[in-house]
Amino acid sequence: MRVYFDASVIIASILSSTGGSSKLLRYVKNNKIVGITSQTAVDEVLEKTEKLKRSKKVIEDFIVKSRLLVRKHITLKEIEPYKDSVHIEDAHLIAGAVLTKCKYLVSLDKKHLLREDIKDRFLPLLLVSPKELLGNFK
Amino acid sequence: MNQAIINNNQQEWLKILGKGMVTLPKKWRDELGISSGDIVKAKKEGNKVVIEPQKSKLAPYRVYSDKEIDEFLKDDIA
Repeated sequence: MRVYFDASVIIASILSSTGGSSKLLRYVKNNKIVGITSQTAVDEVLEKTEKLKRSKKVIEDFIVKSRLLVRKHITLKEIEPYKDSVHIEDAHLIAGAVLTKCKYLVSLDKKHLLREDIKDRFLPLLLVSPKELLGNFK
Repeated sequence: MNQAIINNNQQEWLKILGKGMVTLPKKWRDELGISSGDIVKAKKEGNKVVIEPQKSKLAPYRVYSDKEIDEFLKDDIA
């Protein structure tokens, strides 16, 4: 099962080892799921070094050790089909998930992504929270 | 004309042509999304020259506020 991780989930897993995001990353490490993200999402995480109280190097090491597969940057050309259906700053997530053939896009962003209208727009791609995705494993 | 002389993964020896012209290897141009006619940024850093593609070719992304991150943590239930 291929799951695309957005920056919010990676950020939460760095800050809390007990939350759903960390649990999902443990599933990636144990090969229960294939976790994928992009260099664009990684750049998004690296913008928050101050909040994360970790250096860029420590965050990069965390991502390497997580065993997430990091796709190259998403380009403007690649977001073209999605940029009018979602906020342009989130279009790279839909493009990344579709380009890497993921079934799920996991996010904690209720305000911009985990909304019913947005979820319906990108079916069969499933936009879910870590909690919802973890429900599949019970 | 292929100017690449030695290939060592991310490193190439390139021949400088007349008027300082140099050809970036096609593989690098493809990876970085650099096409003919594009403008790239060249920086002289000490005794190095670094060439960067325009970032505007890349998709924009969201930068979450600290408050939004705090909300993510509250919602991040296992």
